[in-house]
Amino acid sequence: MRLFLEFISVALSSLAFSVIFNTKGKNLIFSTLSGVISWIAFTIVFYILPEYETPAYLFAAAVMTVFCEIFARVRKTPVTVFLVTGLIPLVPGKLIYDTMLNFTTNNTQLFFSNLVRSVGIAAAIALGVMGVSTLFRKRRKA
Amino acid sequence: MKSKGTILNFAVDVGVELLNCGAEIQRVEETMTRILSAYGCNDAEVSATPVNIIATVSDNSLPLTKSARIKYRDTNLYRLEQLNALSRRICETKPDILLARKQLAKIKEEKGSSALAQISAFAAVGLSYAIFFGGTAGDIVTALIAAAMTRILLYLLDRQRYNIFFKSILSATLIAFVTLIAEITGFSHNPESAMTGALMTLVPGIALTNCMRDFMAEDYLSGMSGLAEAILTAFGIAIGVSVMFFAKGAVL
Repeated sequence: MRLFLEFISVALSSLAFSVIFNTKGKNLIFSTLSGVISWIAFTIVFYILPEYETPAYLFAAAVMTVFCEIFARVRKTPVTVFLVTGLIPLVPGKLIYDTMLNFTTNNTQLFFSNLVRSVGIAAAIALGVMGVSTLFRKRRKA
Repeated sequence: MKSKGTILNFAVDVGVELLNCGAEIQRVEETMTRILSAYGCNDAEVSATPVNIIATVSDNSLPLTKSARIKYRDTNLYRLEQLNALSRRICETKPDILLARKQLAKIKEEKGSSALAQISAFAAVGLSYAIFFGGTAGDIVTALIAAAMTRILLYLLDRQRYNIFFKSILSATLIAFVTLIAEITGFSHNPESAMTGALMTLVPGIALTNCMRDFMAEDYLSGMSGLAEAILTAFGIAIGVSVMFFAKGAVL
């Protein structure tokens, strides 16, 4: 039940963010799909190996980017259109908010640990995306 | 054969449009270089940053330069897609520059999502994240209302061209205020989930991840500006929420 609710909310928020970023038409379906894919990939890894949080983000971002690159080729659309919404379920939004809230409430220790975690997660996601898209780019030119 | 100045003007206009709708620096530079070489300027030097574009071509061995200042950046993926299709068409068919310019003007005229779509999308984000953070029915409705009101507030603030720091302080204060009222009236049982749910419309998660991507692509300038924006936005949100927390402590 918990997982089902999460699934619904992730799909809805990905769709909503694609509308916020002005995506239109059939691409809305694909960008929602990329958000759902990244969440599914993350959830599977995180449930099997709960102690490896950051690598799970990296893996999920990489899987999502593979799908986004495929969507981009099928739909003849810049890959960013799908990537931005695919990242929505992964990005450490709540963590960034917690970090800054700890800063304003003088909770220095929590601030630093949250800061390190959110930067680490953001870097892991970026690494996953960059790694896969670099591979795709190389192949296209060759 | 059109003069190189006309071609340069057109390429810079495309670049400005691309940056306005939130394209990455690499994409802007690549697209402009391709358009220029499609019209016969093979020696083009294009340099773009988040705030300006400089492009130089040589016209009969004399340099010809055009620069442009980027006044605002937004994320408009539909327009990005249209511009990408336009540059693809230009490189394949090399249409007359006047025709290409007409098509660019048409893309510029097209509007993004309507205000109603934007407001409902914000509401949907608030709603779905309130569910995600384990809110009850009351919290979900609170988050929905707070997020929708935030979008309306942002429209009002955008009209006055407030800066991003001030905008995030005010919108976060609004969200905290709405959830505080819901908490006091007993409408919301888990106000934490309602508030974070609605705040998810503002937090710079995408900005932080994109700046990391820029750093890894060796695009330090746009990475730094993205990082500054992310920190400022997050800081603004925290200030806005804390203001409401202090007010709550003073009143209750």
